[in-house]
Amino acid sequence: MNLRIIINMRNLIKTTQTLFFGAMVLASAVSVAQDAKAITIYTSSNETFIRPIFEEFTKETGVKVNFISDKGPVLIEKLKAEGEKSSADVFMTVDVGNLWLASQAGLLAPTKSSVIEKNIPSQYREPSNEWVGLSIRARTLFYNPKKVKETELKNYQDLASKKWHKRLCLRTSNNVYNQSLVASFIENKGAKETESMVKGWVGNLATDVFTSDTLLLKAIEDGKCEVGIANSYYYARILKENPDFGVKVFWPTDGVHVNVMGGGVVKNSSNKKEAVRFLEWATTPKAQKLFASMNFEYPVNQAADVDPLVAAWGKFNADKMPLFKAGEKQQAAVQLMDRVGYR
Amino acid sequence: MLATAKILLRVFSCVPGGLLLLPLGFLLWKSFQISSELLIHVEKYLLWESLRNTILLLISVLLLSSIWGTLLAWIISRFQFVGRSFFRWALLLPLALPAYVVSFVWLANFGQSMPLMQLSLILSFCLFPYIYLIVLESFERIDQNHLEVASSLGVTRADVIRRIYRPMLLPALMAGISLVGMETLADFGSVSVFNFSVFTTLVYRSWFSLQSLETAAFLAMLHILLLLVFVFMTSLTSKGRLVDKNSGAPRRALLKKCSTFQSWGMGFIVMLIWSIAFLFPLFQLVQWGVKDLGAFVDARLLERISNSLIIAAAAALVTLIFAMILTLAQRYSKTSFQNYVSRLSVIGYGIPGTVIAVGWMVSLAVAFGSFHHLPYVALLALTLGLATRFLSLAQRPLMTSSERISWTIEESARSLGASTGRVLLKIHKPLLARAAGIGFLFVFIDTLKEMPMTLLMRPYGWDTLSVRVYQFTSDGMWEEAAAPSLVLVAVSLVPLWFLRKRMQ
Repeated sequence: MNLRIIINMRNLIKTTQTLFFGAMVLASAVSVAQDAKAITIYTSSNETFIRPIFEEFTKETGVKVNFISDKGPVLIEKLKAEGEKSSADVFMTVDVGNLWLASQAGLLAPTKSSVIEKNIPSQYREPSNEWVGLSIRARTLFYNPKKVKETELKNYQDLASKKWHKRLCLRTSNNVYNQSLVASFIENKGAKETESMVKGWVGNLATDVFTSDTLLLKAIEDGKCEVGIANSYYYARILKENPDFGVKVFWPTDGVHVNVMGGGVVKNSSNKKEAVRFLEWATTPKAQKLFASMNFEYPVNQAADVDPLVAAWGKFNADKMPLFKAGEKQQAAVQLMDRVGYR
Repeated sequence: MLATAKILLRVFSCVPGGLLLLPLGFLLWKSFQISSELLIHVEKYLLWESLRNTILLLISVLLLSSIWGTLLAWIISRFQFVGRSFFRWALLLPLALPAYVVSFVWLANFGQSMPLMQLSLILSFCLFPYIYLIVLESFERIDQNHLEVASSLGVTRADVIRRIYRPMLLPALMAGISLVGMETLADFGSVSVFNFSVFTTLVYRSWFSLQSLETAAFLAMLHILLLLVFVFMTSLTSKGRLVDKNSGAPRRALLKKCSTFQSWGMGFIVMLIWSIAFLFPLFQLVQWGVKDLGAFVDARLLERISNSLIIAAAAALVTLIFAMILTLAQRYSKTSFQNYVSRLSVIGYGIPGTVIAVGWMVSLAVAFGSFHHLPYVALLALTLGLATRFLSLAQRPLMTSSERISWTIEESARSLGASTGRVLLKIHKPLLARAAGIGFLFVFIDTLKEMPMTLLMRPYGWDTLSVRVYQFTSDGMWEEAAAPSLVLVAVSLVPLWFLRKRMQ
């Protein structure tokens, strides 16, 4: 009996070894075959979405893209630790807070490019182009038309007023999009006014905060609450599966909060020329259309088309504030949310 | 044992601890740079609630999982009932389900109310197999001769429990509890599905939201302190208790024959727990995943599966070797220093995954830069990183079995002229084989489910199943994550199947 166990163990270990070394040899062979003309991108975008775009770039330019994906703050630590030894050429992440942090840490290089400046409005770029917005995400109001008349809705600040008591749904303050939303209010209206607004929101909550925009939107449909704040692409994803989804979008006329997925050239890149080439390519109408449609977002280059499903919701007025300013206020925004008990 | 061998053993036993010092050193260094302003903020608004929740969750998960684990191990080892031999193995299956995926299944079905209760149940149902398996092994080592002698001498039932069962079971229970406790303390995925603030979520909030890795590192050090208290407490209870003076091959306790009614009753209890822990989440995943499964079965699927298996096998093997060295060192060169080393080098399992992954990555990156373009090196670094994280999964079962090996047998073997090598081969190897298999399996399955370290250290384009699950869950696409999760479960069945053969 014991002998059999030993034999089994031996076999197991042997199989393991064979498997492991086989894979090593195979993997090394692949790495040798790598093309010399390649760039490396660190990205926090969903791999399923971003891979086809990288493949399109390679198809058009012949430059191969190596990439790793992880959360923005994790990649920032990676860039910091690797320093001059880093093989990264381009850093891409969602949310201005993360972009601001990377630029603040001195990880990104300023980029001079007339192509980028022509394609991307200055509001969506860092002043010296350390990072450039590549697709716009709108965070706006959603409501249940059975319970709320469109005329009742005004804007984000209005959601703090008494009439929305026990009618509001919010996502957790751990979510970076809510942090940027509050940060942009601090920049626009000052900390005091923002704090009373967020306090009002928390007082109006109909139920515990949600951990995802999708859950929040479904709760609005189910009538657990009547109005809430979410990114429009989550709404689009649900609509695509279920065209009769019973929630509607509302665009505040005095400015819709926007955030970006963006990218910049890594300061220690040994391949800046190709890195800039990638960024420039990414701002062209054709690439912009890809970026926007992979996840039902909005192109930053106004010449690019919007996905038909998204276009059906009409146009909106984006908040005019330069985005990099919101990044700066993110830490203050989180502390503010902690103070008023926004979980 | 030879003096040189002892010294070698001592040196090698410091390797895993030394590797763990890399990420810990990084955290320590970062935590020295903390700003007092943020710390005051954290203390005022976040710290105490998180601490309270952590302790409440820990206690309730430990309590519940001990109940499920011990109860099931007792039923399986003592009674003959319908479906016993199937359940004996199948009760391990919940291990194949990642806890954060199960959490989402519960959330989708029961809503987000009463997070503490739901999380306690979820984690206990996901983690009880650790306790079940280790305790089962101990139950089955209880010698029928002892029981018979006790009953023929008229020993009371309470005394039988106190003098036969307790010394056998308590260390095993504690070994299981320490694994479950560490995993609960390190859990981030499940608690964040319910937006439940615990110490890990506080660490992440400080880092990702307050944008201060320094504060996060400082809190992570506090977390480690908490972990050390826990590890100390679990080792205190099991210390010096068990000495099994057995020959190592006990006469198995006989199974009790049940009446039909009892038999079905036992079957029902086991079936109920198993269904909640395994069938229910599995069915939900199938329901979500079945429509995507077709799209998921593409050319890259086989590659993902084989990558997952390769890294799991490599990590399990290396971890097992480390654990073996620690176990031998603990036995043969027990100094107080040795004691500390072996106790400290296993705490990696209780540190939040992303934190230890980043610590490991940073210390390597500072020294060598990035090496994703060198698959061989990247996989080696990943394997060693995983080994430092999962060491306790392999070490706990081994240590429990090793402590049970009687010195008497070993000394008799030596007095008859057996060399150290022969003693290890003829006495230790057979007695530790099953524990080694269990340790290997634990690490293997946890590596399959592991995400932050794999994501961060893998070579370019090197996809695994858990990374695939992450791509969806990180973006709130839980239902889309069902298909890869199902494949993950199916793949986990492979090592579990191996164990099934060896359990009989």
